Amino acid sequence: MKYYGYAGKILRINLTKRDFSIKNLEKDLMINFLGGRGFNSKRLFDEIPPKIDPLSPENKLIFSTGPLVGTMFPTASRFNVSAKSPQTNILGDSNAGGHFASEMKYAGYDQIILEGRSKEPIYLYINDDSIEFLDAKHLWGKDVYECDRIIKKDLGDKSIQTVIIGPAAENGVKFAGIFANLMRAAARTGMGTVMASKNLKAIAIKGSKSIEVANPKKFEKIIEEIEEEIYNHPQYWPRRKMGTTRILLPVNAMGFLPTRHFTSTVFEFAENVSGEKLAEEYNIKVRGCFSCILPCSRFYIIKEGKYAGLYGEGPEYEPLSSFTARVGNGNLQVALKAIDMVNKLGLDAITTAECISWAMECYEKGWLKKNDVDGLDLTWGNEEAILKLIEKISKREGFGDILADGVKKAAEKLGIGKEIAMHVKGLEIIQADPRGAKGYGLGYVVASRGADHLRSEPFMELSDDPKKGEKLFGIPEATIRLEYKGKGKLVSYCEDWCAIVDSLEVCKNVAENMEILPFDKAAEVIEAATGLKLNGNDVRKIGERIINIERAFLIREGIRKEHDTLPKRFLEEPIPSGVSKGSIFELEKMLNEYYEEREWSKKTGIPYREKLKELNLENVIEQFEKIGIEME
Amino acid sequence: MKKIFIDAFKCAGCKYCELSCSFYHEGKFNPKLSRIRIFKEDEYGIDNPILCSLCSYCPCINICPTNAFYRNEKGFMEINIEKCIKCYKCIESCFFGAVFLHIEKNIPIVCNLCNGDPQCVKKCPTKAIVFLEPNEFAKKKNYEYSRIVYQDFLNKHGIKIKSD
Ligand code: SF4
Ligand code: SF4
Ligand code: SF4
Repeated sequence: MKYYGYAGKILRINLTKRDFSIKNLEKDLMINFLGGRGFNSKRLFDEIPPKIDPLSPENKLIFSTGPLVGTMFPTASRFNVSAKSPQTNILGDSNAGGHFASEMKYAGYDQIILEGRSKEPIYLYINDDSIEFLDAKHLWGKDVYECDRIIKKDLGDKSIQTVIIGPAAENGVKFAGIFANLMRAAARTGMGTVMASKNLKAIAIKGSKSIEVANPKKFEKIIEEIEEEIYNHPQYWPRRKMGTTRILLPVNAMGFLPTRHFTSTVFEFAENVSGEKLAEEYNIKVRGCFSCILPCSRFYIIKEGKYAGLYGEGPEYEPLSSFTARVGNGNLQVALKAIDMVNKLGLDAITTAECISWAMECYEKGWLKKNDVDGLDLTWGNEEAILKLIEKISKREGFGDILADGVKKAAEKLGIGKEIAMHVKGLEIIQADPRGAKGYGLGYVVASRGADHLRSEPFMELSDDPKKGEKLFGIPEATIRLEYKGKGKLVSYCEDWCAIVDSLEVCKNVAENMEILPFDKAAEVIEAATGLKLNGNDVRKIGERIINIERAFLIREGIRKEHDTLPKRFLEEPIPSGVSKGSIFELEKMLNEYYEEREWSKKTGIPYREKLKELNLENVIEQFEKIGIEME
Repeated sequence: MKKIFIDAFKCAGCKYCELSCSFYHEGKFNPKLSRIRIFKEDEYGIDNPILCSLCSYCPCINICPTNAFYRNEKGFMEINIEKCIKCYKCIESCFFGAVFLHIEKNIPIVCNLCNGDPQCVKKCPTKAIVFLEPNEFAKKKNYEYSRIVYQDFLNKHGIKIKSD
């Protein structure tokens, strides 16, 4: 069978035995799970038995790309990496752009499955069909940048693409990421930690094969339409200039910018640390992911002051906002330094900043004293404390050792600040207060990898445009951010959409936030690229199927309705000031609407048997029956 | 004669040009089949497009022992594959390394300006590559340079240049 769009091969590598196999991509998998995240979630459900230790050789680390990656489809450049998460003990999964995914396709693979554990530190060199297991003793302990430099020198080729883990992963920090193109971070849920547990420092990859599409004429035409839509979009230039950092000031103005660990939602120094400031005073050049016509990454340099000479790419809204407002720091240069450290050491910026800001709030409340925190002064915004804690976390040193398991476990271990540990299911909340953007909030509650915006990203609610909600869901409030009505519909719609975007491995900013790739359009593109005949409804069904198999993975690990919740502050304390003042998160109402929409039990949060049947997830039903999980 | 000029600092390294080149000439997607190549180093933000400059003294043509390498009637570079003996002297001789190897056929490939309608230029999102008469390109640069010269002076008087 000839594959179009897809590379057509699955590479399975056993690190214990140091062998590998290359098999054809299964047709079933294509039709039912599309690619990328869909492939990974299905594979994890099938191959990871419940209750395994995520850091044991039994865990599998899986990379997938999508059917559009490697083609000219704008922004199709991404990969998902998934495993059982050592941070949350549920589904672990993260996504990054750059140039790794396309190279993986050119090497011939839609999916790479890593099993077992190497005895010695190694790295993999994949060059088309040749797979080499190379010694990585000299790379162990090296930061991401150094490691990349040495690998390219060793292999004598600077065009090789890499994914790398930093020292934080090696030291067993539970929220270490995997880094492509040095700073494109697949950082959430500790996928780097899993990679380190397999004694795998990096994957270097090079490919020479071509990707063909099923209907080149049609594909070309669609691309031209998409190009025009992107170029004419009102968000084009702000995104080109500032990337996602453009949103820092609006989020502050709308009064839901988490400030000093969510004790406030308005940051008085927002101007100083804004995307605008960064663009005007620090950026020198634009950079982009593979096949992107909206290159939104920026190369910056600090020219003066204490950090003069510091340069690098990015940052995005999340790390920028995390290391400024969240920790109470109004100095942009300190944030850039912190983010540079986080990248090189290989940490998840959001989780790291949550741990630090949580400790700062505990310190302010007097629950932590100077001598509990290695003599550091954890006053809001204290430069030394922020930078020292990043280092200590990465080394698991002193107080950093406690934070290195994530905020949930840190609070449990110390027996303090449990109700202000800002996480859902063990994954730390991002930089948007759920009380000020309720669709986002509901997204955190139900997301399959824990508190996270990228599973649903209901960006359209920020428009506060009732017409949109009326048109899409028959509920005007659905797209008004402070209303709770209609959010179940909004979030499940956006979740299905994001699952498709993540499975096609295109950029969510463009495909979903800018609304360039709705279900119908996705169906057209999929057909032109792969030859699979689908309509918009079929595509949405695939999205729904992915959400349900991920839910099934969680259910199997013991997750139920009671875990679908938010920290107490958001449920009990209204937003204290700013334009969103007085707003609170109406959990029960929204969650019920969501379950109804999903056809999951309102009592348990388990999908109905009929729903699973409708989605052809018979194997989930079988599994549930076998281990005694009752479906309604 | 119009040529493709490169503004390397504008290049985002997205490789959209490589993809359009390979799709136009080969009907499939593969940067390693492109006649333009972007050379990148992430640590320093380097993204540098390289393609044929259409020199007027062409070492590539002069060194080719079988006259496989030539300029067609429109003045664009062509390689006659029938005549090519794969000595790769053209690759060796080009100052810029702008003759590449076709990774499937093992023959040299070089930009032929898509016979006068350069696809990569049309597709580049940053205008890092432009198709212009040398004088027009010089003028573009002259204006950019003039702004740099005036930047401090205008700043001092509180005038901010708006970006185009
Ligand atoms: S291939 Fe190289 S040497 Fe020949 S004309 Fe082009 S740039 Fe000049
Ligand atoms: S002008 Fe045409 S042949 Fe030359 S690099 Fe651009 S797309 Fe390729
Ligand atoms: S399309 Fe333009 S910006 Fe993108 S890599 Fe090519 S020259 Fe650079």
